[in-house]
Amino acid sequence: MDVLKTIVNYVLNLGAPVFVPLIMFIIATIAGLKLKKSVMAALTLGVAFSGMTLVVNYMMDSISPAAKAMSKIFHLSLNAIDAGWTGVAAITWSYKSAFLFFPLLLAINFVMLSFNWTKTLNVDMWNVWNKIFTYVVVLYFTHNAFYGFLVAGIQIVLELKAGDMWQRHIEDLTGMPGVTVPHFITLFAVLLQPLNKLLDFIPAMNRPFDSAALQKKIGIFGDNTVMGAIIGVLLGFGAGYSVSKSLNLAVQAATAMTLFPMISKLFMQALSPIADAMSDFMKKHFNGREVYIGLDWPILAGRNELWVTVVILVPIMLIFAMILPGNTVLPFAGIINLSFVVAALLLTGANLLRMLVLGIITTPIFLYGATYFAPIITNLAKTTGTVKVRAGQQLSWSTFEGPDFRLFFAKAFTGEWWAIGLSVLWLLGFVWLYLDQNKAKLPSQRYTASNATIAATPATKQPQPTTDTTTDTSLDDLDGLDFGQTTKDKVSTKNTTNIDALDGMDFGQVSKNKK
Amino acid sequence: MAKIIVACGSGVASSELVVKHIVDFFDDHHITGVEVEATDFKKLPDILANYDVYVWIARPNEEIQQIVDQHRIASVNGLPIFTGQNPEIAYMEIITALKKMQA
Repeated sequence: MDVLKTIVNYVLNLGAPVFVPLIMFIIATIAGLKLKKSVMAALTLGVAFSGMTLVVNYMMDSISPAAKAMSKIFHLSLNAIDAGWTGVAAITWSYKSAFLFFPLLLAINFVMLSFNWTKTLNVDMWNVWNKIFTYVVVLYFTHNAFYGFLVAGIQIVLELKAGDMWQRHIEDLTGMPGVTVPHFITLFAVLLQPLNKLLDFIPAMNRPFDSAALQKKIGIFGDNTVMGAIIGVLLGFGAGYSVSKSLNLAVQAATAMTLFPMISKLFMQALSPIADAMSDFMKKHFNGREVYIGLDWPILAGRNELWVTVVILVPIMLIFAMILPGNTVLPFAGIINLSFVVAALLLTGANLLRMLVLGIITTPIFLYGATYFAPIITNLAKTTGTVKVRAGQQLSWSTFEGPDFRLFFAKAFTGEWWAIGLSVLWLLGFVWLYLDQNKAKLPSQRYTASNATIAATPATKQPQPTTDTTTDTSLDDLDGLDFGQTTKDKVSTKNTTNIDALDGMDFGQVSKNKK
Repeated sequence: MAKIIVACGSGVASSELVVKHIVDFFDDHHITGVEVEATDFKKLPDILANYDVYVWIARPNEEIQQIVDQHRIASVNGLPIFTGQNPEIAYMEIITALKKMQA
C-alpha cells in the first residue's frame, strides 16, 4: 500500500508538464491510437504547457511593472494581470483530475439522450475545460470534491438544455440545420434576459440594424496583434513611461497577444485524439436518432454583429477598469468579451443595438467577477505550477466566464443562505429563459420594422459551395483505381472519385493562379 | 504548394480541430504538398487571398464571399468534418478543388 502511495505521489509531483502528458499517453494508448500518434499527442501537450508558461510569464514581466506604475499615478489597485480564456484554459487543463470530466460529460449526455431528456448530442470536447474550471472554483470554496462534481454536473445538464433551446434560433441565424451550441457562455443569457425584456419598451431597440458596414471600418482594431500594441502603448503612457519605453511595451504586449492563440492551438492538437474518440463513441450509440449536434460557439462567428459588439466593448472595458472602485483587473489577453457576446447574440437575435447596450451594462459584472475570482485563478496557477506569480501580484481573466452561475452555486454549497437563494432564483431565471426562447419569434422575424434588411444580411445568405464542380474532375484519376474493397462502408458521395485512390497525391507544385 | 485555410472565433479551438482532421486525412492517404492552417475571423479578410481553399465552419459573410470570388478561392463547407458526420463529403470537395488547380 505504501509503495503504491509513494508511486502515486511521485507521479503527481512530477509537475503538470510531465504528469498530464503521461496521462494523455495512457489514455491515447487505451483509445487505440498508434504509438507515434500517442507519443506526439502527449509530447505536444507537454510543449503546450511549457509554452503557455513562457508566454504568461513574459506577459506578466512586461505588463506588471507598467500596471504597478500606472496604479500608483492614478491611485488604482490594478495588480491582477489578465491571462484571458486561453491562459486560464491552459492552466485548467493542467489540473490533476482534469481528464475525469470527459467521462462525466459523456455519461450525463448519454443518460439524458437515452431518456429523451434532451435532443442535444454534445461533441464539443474542447470545452470540457470549463467544467473542470467550475469544479476547481467549487472545490476552492467548499473543499469538497463531491460538490465540485455535482455543480459541474448541473452545468452539463443546463448546457444541454440550453442547446435544445437555442437550436432553432441558431438555424435561423446561420442557416445551418441540426446544429446547436451547448456552451457554458450562452448561460449568461439568464442574467441578460430581464434586461433584454426591459429594452422591449424602447422603440429604437425594436428595429433591425445593419452591421456589415461597421464591421469593415473597425476590423483592424479587432486584430490581436494591433489590439495588444494599442493597449501596450496606452499602458506605457498611463504608467508615465518615456515614448521609447512605451513603444517597447507596445511591441511586447503585441507579442504576448499574438503568441497566446498560437500556444493554445497546441492544446487543441494534443487533445484532439481524446476528443475524437469520445465523440465517435457518442455518435456510434445515437446513430439514426434525430439529434442536434452540439458544437463550439464559432459556428455563429459569421455574424458581423458579434465582432462589431466585442470590438466596441474593448475601450469601454478599459475605461470601466480604470473607474470602477475596487476593481483589481487590468484587461489584456481576455479583453475580447466572448463570455458575454455569444449569449447576447442568441438572446437578442443578433440585434446590434441591444447587444451593445447589454454589453455596456454588464461589463462591470465581468470585471468584478474577475476581481473576485482572481485569488482562485492565482491559486490554481500556483498549485499546478504552470505560472510563477510573484507576491503582491495576481492572475485573472477580465471577461470571466459565467461569474453569476459559478459564484452562486459554489457559495450555495458552502451553506450560505444568500447564495442558496440566488441559486434558486438563477434556476428559475433559466426556466423562464427556456420557456421564453421556445416561443420567441425566430431572429429573422423578430424585429419587424423592415424585414427586408434582415433577410439581406450576409450571414443568412446561402453561399454556393463548390458542389457544381465536384463531378467533372474525377474521371482523370480512374487509372489504377481499385474498387475491390471499397464499396461496402463508403458513404456514397456525389462524385465518383474514390476516396482511397487519393494516396500519394502531391500538391507541392500547384498554384491557383497559373494560366 | 497548395494552401488551405480554416477559420474560427479565435483560431484556436474549432478551426484547429478541423485542421487536425484534414492533416490526418492527408497523412492517411499519403497526400503531400498541402499546407493547412487555422486562423481567426478577424484576421481572415486580410490573409484569405493568399490561400487556395477556404474551409468554413461559419457561413462566409458578404466580405469573405467577395474575396473568395475575386481570388478564385474554392470555398468548402467544413461542417461535415467539424461535426464528424459524413466528413468524406468535405474531403472530396477539398480534393476536387486541389485537383482542379493541378489540371
